Amino acid sequence: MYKEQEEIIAAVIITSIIFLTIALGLIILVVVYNNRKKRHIEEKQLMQLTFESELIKTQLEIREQTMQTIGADLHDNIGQLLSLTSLTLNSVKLEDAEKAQQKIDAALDLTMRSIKEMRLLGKLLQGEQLIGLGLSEAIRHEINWIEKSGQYVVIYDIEGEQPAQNNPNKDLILFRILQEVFNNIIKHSKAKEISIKLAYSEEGVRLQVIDNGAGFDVTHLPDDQKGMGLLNIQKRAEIVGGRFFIQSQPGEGTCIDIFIPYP
Amino acid sequence: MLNIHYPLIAEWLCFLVSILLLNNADRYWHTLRFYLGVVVLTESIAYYMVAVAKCPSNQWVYNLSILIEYGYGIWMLANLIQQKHIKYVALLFYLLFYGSYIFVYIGHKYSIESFFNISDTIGSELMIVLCMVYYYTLFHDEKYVKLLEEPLFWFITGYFIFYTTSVGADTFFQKLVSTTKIHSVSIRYLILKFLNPVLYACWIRTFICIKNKRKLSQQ
Repeated sequence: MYKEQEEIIAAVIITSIIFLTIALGLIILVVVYNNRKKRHIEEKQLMQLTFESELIKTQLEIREQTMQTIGADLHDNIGQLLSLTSLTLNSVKLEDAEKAQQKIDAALDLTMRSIKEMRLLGKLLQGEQLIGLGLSEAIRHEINWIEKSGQYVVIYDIEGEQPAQNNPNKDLILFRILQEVFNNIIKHSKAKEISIKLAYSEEGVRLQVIDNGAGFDVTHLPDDQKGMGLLNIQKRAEIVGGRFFIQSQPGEGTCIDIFIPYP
Repeated sequence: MLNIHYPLIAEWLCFLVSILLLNNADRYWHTLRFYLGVVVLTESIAYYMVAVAKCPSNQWVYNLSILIEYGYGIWMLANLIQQKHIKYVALLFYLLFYGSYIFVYIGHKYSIESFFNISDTIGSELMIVLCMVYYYTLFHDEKYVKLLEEPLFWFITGYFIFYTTSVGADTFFQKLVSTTKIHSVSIRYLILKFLNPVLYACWIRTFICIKNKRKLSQQ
């Protein structure tokens, strides 16, 4: 009888311990899950901060690039034109009417060219703001600027319909990527023809840039060309959930393909 | 040692702490002081009847107290847990518990002398379900909550540990648990002696969290 009672007591105690363990186990699970949620939220916030900082960096770089281009053009182009205009007008001798007329006409022509250059510079400044109105327009302005030098023939093709609602952040990043690609073409490729394709689809937007320049071995970049350009392009494409491909062979030009989900 | 009435000490301590710390608490937490007042009164009467007045049984006191215990518990959890349709669930639980109480009362031939085990077990299980609803909302809520500083977490955890452990023993060993004794003390009573301080310790932690939250919100 006494033994039976002992067994019953043991059984009750064991059962109570089992249920207590189950209860504590559930509580620990909840606490652990809650802590994981906290880490997940912190990671998400960090990713958001990184994205925002990258976006700010992109905006600053676009601005810097624009200012550099404007500065260079003012110095090299417009400055020269206006200096020449001044020289021409200074050399006018009113006694020789015919020659004076020729010089005045030449000065007028130089002034018109300066005005045309200033207008193009103005459009370049506007180009940055045009990103807000649409990526395709902003790219068109950038192409106009490239073509102005007369060294490049640019073919620009737009496929598909632009979505009704655009994503200004992604437009900004794609625009900056395009500027980096143009910089690389101007600095390294010695290309004559550039083909740009902007294709919109339901999944996203694809930007393809092909040039007929010198090309390079993608796996082995020469030391003087190991810039951050390609890495930056790849990082920026990935930060907005996109993909970046590059195909190039020495002597066979380069093809850069970027796809990002859009909008 | 076994005869010291730890549960009563724990209840009085919890009641006194609630008076000190729940002064300006919001309306639901505020009611906890009154509930604890009823609990200490009930337990004191029950203890006095057996230990001092040497009455043959004090079960009728507990039979009356469980009406308030589960009624208040279900009401409190239904108001504190943020979950859709919880009020309808609470209504259903009220029907189940009070329905079973009436059924057992009729079954005991309108007497409350012997403890209504079945109603108590049903009440415990309903409380366990409500506690699990709260843990379910924690899993599904996208917001992060500092659980160890959250008053509701401690309040419900106290309930959960108390009812899960006691119902485990109760359900399987209903008769045995109340009659089997160690040194003339029933094992059921021993289990409650262990669980009660755990419950009230969690509730004291709840009051401290409420006070800390109020201090932070005032800063």
